[in-house]
Amino acid sequence: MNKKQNKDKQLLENLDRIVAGEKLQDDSGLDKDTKAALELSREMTSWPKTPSKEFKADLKARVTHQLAVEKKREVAKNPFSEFRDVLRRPAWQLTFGAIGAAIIAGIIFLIVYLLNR
Amino acid sequence: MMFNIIKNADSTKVSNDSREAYAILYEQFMPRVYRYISFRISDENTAQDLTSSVFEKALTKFGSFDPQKASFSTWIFTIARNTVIDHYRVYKKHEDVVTNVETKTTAQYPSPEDEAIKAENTKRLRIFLSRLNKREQEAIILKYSNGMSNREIGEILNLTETNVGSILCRTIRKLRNSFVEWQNE
Repeated sequence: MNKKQNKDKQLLENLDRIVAGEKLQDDSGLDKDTKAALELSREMTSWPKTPSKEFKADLKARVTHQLAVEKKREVAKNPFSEFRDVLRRPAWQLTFGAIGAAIIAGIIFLIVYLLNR
Repeated sequence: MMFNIIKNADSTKVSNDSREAYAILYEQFMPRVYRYISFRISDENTAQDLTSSVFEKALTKFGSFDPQKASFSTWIFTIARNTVIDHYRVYKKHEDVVTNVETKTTAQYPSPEDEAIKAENTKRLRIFLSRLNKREQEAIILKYSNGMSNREIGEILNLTETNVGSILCRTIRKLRNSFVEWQNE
């Protein structure tokens, strides 16, 4: 690895630490140019804004509404889709599986009981 | 399965499970998409409108989202990127990076002079950023607005991870040099 590639590698590794909000452990091994570039990077990570609470709440309400409209539309098109979706859930599949297994075990027990009688 | 997408011949519909998935992904990605857009759009209301538009489009297209082909991050940021590009196309503006934003004042800068210097430095840096080519701007914005990995940036910009690394190194140094030159003027 040549000197430039090594400097680039150091810059990228430290840049990833900066954007992840981590502190640079030891920058004594870095050259002046890389340190300056990282200083600039630290400055730029402070720029992005966070969405306001009002906007977050408003957009969430709109997305929730849109999802509900989608669901209604789907139910209207296929009335059994909801039931089908419920059946696909692992908890329900497990419940139905357990009930089925219990019924089969009951039948086997009854047959064995009747044969031995 | 969460990403259970029902594909019909004539249209694509979002199943119950994928609606739940969308709601979870929305919570996770909305602030990230907003940060990306607000890095590129100076007006807060426009940034909010475009963020809303991204998630409305995403919901409409969610039936065609295939997690086998791309991660949700790549998919949603591609929609966000195209939405911003369309916005600039419509308004025929060439400003791709916010250059006229007010700088937040914090206790980190104790005196008004320090605050003024910080604001001027930020403004100048944003101007230098706006002078970069599109690809350099995109790579820098995706990195600094969301801390994306070079691989993720590469997936969005159709570049290899190595290419993204080279672009970032070159661009950061370019920005640094422009900044130093300006300070020495």
